[in-house]
Amino acid sequence: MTDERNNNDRRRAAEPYDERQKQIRTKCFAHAFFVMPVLLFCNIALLDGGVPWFDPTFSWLASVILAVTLAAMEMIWREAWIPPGGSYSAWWSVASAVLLIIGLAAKVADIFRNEVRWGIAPVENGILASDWLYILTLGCMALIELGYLLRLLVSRLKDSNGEEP
Amino acid sequence: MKNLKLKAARAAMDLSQQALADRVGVSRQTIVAIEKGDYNPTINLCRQICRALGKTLDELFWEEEYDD
Repeated sequence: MTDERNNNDRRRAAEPYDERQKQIRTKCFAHAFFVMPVLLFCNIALLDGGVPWFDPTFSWLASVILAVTLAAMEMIWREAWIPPGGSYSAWWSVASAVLLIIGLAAKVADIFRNEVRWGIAPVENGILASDWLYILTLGCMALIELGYLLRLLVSRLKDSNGEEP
Repeated sequence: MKNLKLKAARAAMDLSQQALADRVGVSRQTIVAIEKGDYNPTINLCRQICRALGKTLDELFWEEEYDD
């Protein structure tokens, strides 16, 4: 029995997800893939609608971030995501804290010196900006942070402890 | 459809779901899903479960309604 357990531990270290979890993860990624066109269609509608506050570049990135967040939330809910260290709350709390620190440090260091609006401006005066830091503006980081908080909320709501009757 | 035979066999050996999952090498939630009938395991997983519980495939996974 000890050899069997050791073999299982080695196998799980090499392949942490079992067959059921792999199936669910595949479905979750597929859901995210099909959510993307819906979000992009909304982007096109907003762009064509001439909404004044709409920033198309940010919204494209936001669509990707939202789709990934939805997939992650579904995986957590269906118990097909193993957090590093084994604890959902600890992992998302650490990830959120790291992102907040990076955001605050960037703000303090005034990295986003020119464009403080909630979007990105890859084009300035008709010239594509070469500063890659423009890609990571407060808006995208805030959205990623929101994604982490949503994942944390799902993991807290999901009671995966205790035996089934 | 719930797999009551699996649940009964596990209980007969006084194994928790986590313990059976550890023996088989899957997550506890997978054992839960199999017992509740929410997931149909592959033949390989069925064999691993049977080996862990000392039962045959017929004893754990065959449905009487198939005998027509």
